[in-house]
Amino acid sequence: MPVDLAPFGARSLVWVGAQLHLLFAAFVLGAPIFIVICEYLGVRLRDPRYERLARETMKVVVMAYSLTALTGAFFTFTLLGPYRDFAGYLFVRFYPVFALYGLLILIETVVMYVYWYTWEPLARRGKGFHISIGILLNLLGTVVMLLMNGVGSFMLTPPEGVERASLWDLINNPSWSGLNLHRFIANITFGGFMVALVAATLFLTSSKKEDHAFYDWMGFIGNFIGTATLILLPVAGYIYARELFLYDAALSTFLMADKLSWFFEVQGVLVSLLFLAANYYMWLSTQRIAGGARFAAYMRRAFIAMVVASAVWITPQNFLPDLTSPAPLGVPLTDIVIPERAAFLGLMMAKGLAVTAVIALTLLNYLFYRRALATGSIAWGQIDHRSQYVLIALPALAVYTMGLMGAVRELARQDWHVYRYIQDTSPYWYAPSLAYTSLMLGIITLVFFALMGLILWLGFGLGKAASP
Amino acid sequence: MPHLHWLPAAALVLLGSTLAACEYPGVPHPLAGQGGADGAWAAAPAPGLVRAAGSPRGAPSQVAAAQAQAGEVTVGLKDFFLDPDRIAAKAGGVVFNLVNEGRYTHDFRVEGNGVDEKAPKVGIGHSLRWEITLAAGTYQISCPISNHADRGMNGTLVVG
Repeated sequence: MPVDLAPFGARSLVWVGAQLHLLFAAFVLGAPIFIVICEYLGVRLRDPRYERLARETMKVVVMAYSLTALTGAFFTFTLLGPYRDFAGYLFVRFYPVFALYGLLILIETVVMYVYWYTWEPLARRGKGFHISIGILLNLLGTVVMLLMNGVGSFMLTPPEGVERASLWDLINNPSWSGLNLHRFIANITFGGFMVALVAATLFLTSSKKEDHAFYDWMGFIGNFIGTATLILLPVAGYIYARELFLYDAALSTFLMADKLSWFFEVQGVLVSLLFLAANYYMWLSTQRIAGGARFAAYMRRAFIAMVVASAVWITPQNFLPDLTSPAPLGVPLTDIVIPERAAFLGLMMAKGLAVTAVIALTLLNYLFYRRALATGSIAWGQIDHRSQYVLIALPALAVYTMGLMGAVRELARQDWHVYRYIQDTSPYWYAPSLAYTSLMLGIITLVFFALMGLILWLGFGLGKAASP
Repeated sequence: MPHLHWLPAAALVLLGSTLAACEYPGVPHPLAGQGGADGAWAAAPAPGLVRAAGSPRGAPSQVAAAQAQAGEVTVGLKDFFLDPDRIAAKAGGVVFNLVNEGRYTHDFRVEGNGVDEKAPKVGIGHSLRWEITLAAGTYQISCPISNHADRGMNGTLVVG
């Protein structure tokens, strides 16, 4: 390694930079998708709330754009020093991709500013044109994502005969489409939860009744989009994992049965918490519908069933750290494996059913919510304040989960920069422990929320504080 | 600044976590120093999907063959290979002593020549005696749970 970055260590800094960049990128790619949809709905339904939602979210996106660029630069600089040889290799092999990426980022930035600054001038005449600019912004963002997914997925699943492979073969490697699908849906989920975060923060910091009503509605829409797309994510994740397993069965052993198996336990806990939190919010939402309280008992039962399904999901077959570590001295193996009569709970079949149950029960709770809505009207702004803390917890869980699964995807390469092709013999070649990974994810989540807090303060708090 | 009295505590937590996350200088790799400046080129390019342990479908076997004695053979169900993975037996009743020596629940399947039979699942640390009647021919043996067969839990059974 030509240069290391003491005292943090080169890999950890690259990790923080890459993950923060990805989080902001996911937000600025995911949020505009439904900003445009909301703008369109505002025109179509003649409901000014959609217009305000789109505009206030776009204000946050514009500021988050700068942080996406800054964290991207931080990531690049930390990569170019310690990993210059490998970065050089990627740049040579993917030169047209990086060149196009740079060009498209430039165009996307211009389009993003045009979209933001023409909002007012095109508000009366030319709304359709303004929405078209938003669609163009999303198209550019999606292509940018697809390009970088090509580089990222190549490192884990390079095509056979890498040296002779064409650029298209490098990009269209065995896990590219799976990663594209998963990231596209996950970005919308994340965008939805981030809108809910913005809404909850503004709800809790505003004192006007009409603001409470609006931000309550905005938080509901954000959570709705986030949860609706979250339901699709296990399917997309399954497709992606299947592509990896078909590529190399040894990957599935490393991921699900060996060093990273406990990472998936934590994933089960986090995704279960995401679903439980979204359902708890739905339950609190039902309470603010006139006559909605009578549906609460049914939703509570569904919630309890979800807790049971989540417990099945995270039931491991054994409590050993990996495939080769011996049982602790003096502890018989039978004490740290699941009892025979409950062994079926540890199988994938049971876990698949448990995840399906969690999804089905979420849909059932939404049906209860719709049923309540059919019998009474919503008192926007009258929601229990606990709901707003749930809306802050949801993106926190999403950020941590994204970080965890990003780490799993990278660590799946083991001690390879490009799996089974270019070996990583730097001092950071090993898979870190789950404890260390959790610490890193905690830091990343805290820094991301601190930066988002800064954006919200600059965008909404500072102006309010300065006004008489 | 009102409502920000928690800020020093949060900063302290972040600082403490950051210090705890310092992993410099790392651990030298066994192959370090053989490659480029950042150690990127230590191994010769080795694309292809040959796994390090076990034997995925189609890959050469790493486990010895076994001949059933008196129509009975013991098969170790390990993570993730069968031991032995090449078995020879005489036509008629074949008894398998299935011993789960792994850390995950396993199973045993015999396929081919119109036969597709599965034994009951074998729990971790447990054994099972399973009998099946087979005509002469070559059969595939595997663990049918999840993708264990693709990970290497597969082999052949020749009945003569």
